Amino acid sequence: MSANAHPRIDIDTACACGAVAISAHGRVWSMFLCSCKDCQKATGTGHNCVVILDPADVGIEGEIKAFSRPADSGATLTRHFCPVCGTPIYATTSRRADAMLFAAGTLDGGEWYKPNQLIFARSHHDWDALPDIPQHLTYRET
Amino acid sequence: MHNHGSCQCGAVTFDIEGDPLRMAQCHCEDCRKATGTGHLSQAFFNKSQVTIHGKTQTYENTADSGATRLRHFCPVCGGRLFSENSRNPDTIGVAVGVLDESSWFKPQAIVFSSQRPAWDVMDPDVPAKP
Repeated sequence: MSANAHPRIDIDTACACGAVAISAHGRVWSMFLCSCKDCQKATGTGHNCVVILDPADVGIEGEIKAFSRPADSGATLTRHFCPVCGTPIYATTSRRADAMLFAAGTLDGGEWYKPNQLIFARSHHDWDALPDIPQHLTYRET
Repeated sequence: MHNHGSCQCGAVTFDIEGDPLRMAQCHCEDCRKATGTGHLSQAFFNKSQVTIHGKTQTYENTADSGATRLRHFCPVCGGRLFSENSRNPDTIGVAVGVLDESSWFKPQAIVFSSQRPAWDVMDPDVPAKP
């Protein structure tokens, strides 16, 4: 595994109000940007900054609230957030039940954060600047 | 200009009449936490221009600027929606990502750019303030 694509992170952080503590200690599985309509609505921005982690490397303490709905892909996406301050904590997807999807901003993402693609470029807005990375209209073709 | 927007689940919708007073993007720690991203993009309107349908949840804290900031999100789906700031009590910020149509969005300033994460690429033509 390349260190750049799968950096090791050692993070102990919290949501904005401190009600939910988050720890993440391990190697990142993957990092990408997503501009699907759902991510735009959830974040209020042009794209989400996704970090996929192994649940075994993650600790969450405090009460969180969950909201599930079908995503653009047809998968069921469940987003968990702090009910006090609304900070996004993590998401899970029925496409990959063994993974936790975090947002780089929630994890105080530093130099280690290196997204390698944009997915759901079909709903990307011109006003939202992007790094020079491959773009895929929906998911990357495999 | 008329704008409409909603959270993911539709429990909160809103209508906006007229043009924004200003538009900006912010990299402060609060905006990064609130969105989970590198910055928040907002269009600011006079409160009289914005009609909110449904109940939001709010979280109040002290912003990096020293002002009191009230952030609104949907209590059902957690979607990021609005912000208020004690320095501009007549104004409300709308998170641009929840608008049905936002092609008109043209930020005039990037603020707290000293806190911009290296990975968060911004439009170099928008003036950035530290």
